[in-house]
Amino acid sequence: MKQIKNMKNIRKIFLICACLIIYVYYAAAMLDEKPIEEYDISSGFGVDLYRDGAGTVKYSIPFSILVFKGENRQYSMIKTGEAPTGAETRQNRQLKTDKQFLIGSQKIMLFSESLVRYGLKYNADIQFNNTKINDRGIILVCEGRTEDILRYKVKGYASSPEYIEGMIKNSMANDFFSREYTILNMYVRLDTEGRNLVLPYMKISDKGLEITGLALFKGDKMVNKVDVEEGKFMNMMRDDDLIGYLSIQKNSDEFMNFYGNTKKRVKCNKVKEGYEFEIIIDIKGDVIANTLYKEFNGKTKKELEETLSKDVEKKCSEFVNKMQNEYKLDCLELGMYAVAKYGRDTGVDWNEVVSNSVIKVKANVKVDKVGRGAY
Amino acid sequence: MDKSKYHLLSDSEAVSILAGLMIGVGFLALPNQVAKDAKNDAGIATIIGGLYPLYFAMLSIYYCKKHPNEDILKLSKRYLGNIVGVICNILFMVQFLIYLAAGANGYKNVLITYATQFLSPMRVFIIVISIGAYVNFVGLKPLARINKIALFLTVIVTSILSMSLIRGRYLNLLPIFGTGITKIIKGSLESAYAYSGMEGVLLLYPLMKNKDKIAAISLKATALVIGVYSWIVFMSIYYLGYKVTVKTLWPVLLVTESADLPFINSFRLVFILFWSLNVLKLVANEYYAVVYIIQDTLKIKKSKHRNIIILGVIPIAIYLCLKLGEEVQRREILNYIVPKIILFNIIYASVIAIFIFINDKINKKSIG
Repeated sequence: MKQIKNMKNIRKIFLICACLIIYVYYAAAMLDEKPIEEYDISSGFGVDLYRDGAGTVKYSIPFSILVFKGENRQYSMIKTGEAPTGAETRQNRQLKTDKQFLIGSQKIMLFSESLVRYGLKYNADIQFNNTKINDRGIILVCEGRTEDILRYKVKGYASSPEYIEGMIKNSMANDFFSREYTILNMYVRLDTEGRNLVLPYMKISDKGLEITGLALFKGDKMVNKVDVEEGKFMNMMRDDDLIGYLSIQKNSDEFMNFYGNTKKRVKCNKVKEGYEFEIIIDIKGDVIANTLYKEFNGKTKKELEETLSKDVEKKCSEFVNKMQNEYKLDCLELGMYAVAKYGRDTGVDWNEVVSNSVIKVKANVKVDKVGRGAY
Repeated sequence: MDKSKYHLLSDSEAVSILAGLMIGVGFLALPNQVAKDAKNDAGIATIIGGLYPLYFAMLSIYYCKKHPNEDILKLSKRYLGNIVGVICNILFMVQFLIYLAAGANGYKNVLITYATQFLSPMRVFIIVISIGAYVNFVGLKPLARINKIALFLTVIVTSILSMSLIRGRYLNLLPIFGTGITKIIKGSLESAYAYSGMEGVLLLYPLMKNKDKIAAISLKATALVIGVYSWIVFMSIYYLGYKVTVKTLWPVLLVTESADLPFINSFRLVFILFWSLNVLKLVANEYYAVVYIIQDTLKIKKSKHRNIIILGVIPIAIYLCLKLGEEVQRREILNYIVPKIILFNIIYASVIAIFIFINDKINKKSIG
């Protein structure tokens, strides 16, 4: 009996010792790990590129860092690192900072125009490799230096990135903006055959931060930009399920506003001379304001739908013309449809093919609701 | 009698343990491997790759019909002679050892890359392999139950990933069969590693409760795995396009970012947490197969001696894990070894099936 009891005791002691050793072994791995409070948390960062005197490329990457002081009082400060490659800016930045960085919790990533004109590829690579990064973070292009925009003070906000995030996320509600200006989408757009990247373009105007247009990319380089009005019709043909306003105005007293959402279909055919594309846009929505038609009935409703459809078709065709002759780009991702139908990896430059093919646009506007009545 | 009956696998447990032998860390990398050759037809290639487990499911049905109580180890000793049979059995065991190490190593790579950068590989291996060993101390029945839970989790997590359906483009999947049949078949060979593990059915069928239902069980497990695999490959290509799929080592973890769940900042870590159970059960399953074959070869009956084997496998497994190294190296090594293992498996299992067939014919003749 005594022997068995002894055995049990030995087993107990052995187990406790083993547990202790395992605990120490694994705790040792954590020695260098700091609690999250001891890291710098950034709400966004920018990527700038400039050439120094000798003409070599240098990156300047400013981080907007949130500083927590006391209860609920937040400030932000900018810490910039400069180096010939993106990753090296981290070591340069660390020399100016009192804490370590946690890269990846960012809300936005700003590219300066100089960077995107030079090429996004090297920057995309470092983001792709970083497993901590928030792939759903928003990306956009800005005029001038990104540092100025990050430093811009918006009243009531701790830092400007939080404000900019809201701007981009909600731009889709009224201006036919796409919802997909995220890092993950950048990877997909840059790589897939027949697709081109488009990013929102912003600057500091005299009214504050403002989205002024869309930056058009060819491969990983920005080549052109369009303003918001033009971008509206481009997005309509390019993306699905967008929301925004359309209007007809005869004069300041007679006008009509329409709020709807779009659905897009593309038909693609190979003909002798090249490709033929037909873009069909269905827009369904509500009449918001109407002083154009005194009496709103079946006949005028049809008339209104037709005028709106014609208007959309006209403006879309205008854009297509400009795109084919001036930008020489496939901003509408038509190449993707051709590729899906006629085979991949044929080595065709879709920007060129689309610029030289026939593109027809058809719009069908439908009024769903008319509100609670006309005043 | 009752006690031994209790230790046998019920139908659902058998299905989940068979699926559990296949679904593991290979799942996360599968779209990348298949899309390298099969491009946008990777989904189809994955379905074609399912012929491999299907073949073993068929063999198990045939084996079980003729010899319901003898597994492949005993059959090989009977038909190939004691020496050749034992050598083949040991080779059969080595593959499970390799899969065990490959699973644990792959898990370490995912964990260190995505979640716990501060853990050294050794620390991960010790935990993962000791868990595998511990489950084997407890026995087959708990192992089957863990597999059952893991299978439920797999199905749930895979269906959450379907959220990417909202964001992707079906155009990424077109044109179907555009890459050409040869490329698709080449791609389907790449999926072989993900499907390997089904060989275990040849060890397990004598342990099932309802042997007359072996057809339903093994076909169900195969269909389930083919379904989950091809769904995840379709999903990745649909959402990312094949070019991005090829660029990332674990495409499935990139697709997880598409899931926009309320209150959760990144679904990726939640996914890895759930996935951990899946990998741990895979390691335990392979461990069980290794111990089972060693036990059979050395003719060990006592549980005390079995425990010694279980402990003895730990250092070997950890050594193999360390040899496999980081992810790119691991895949290179596996790409070299796995085709040979698969060839061996097919030949080994088919030859025994042929012997069974011939023997059966002779027996019938002598009776008739």
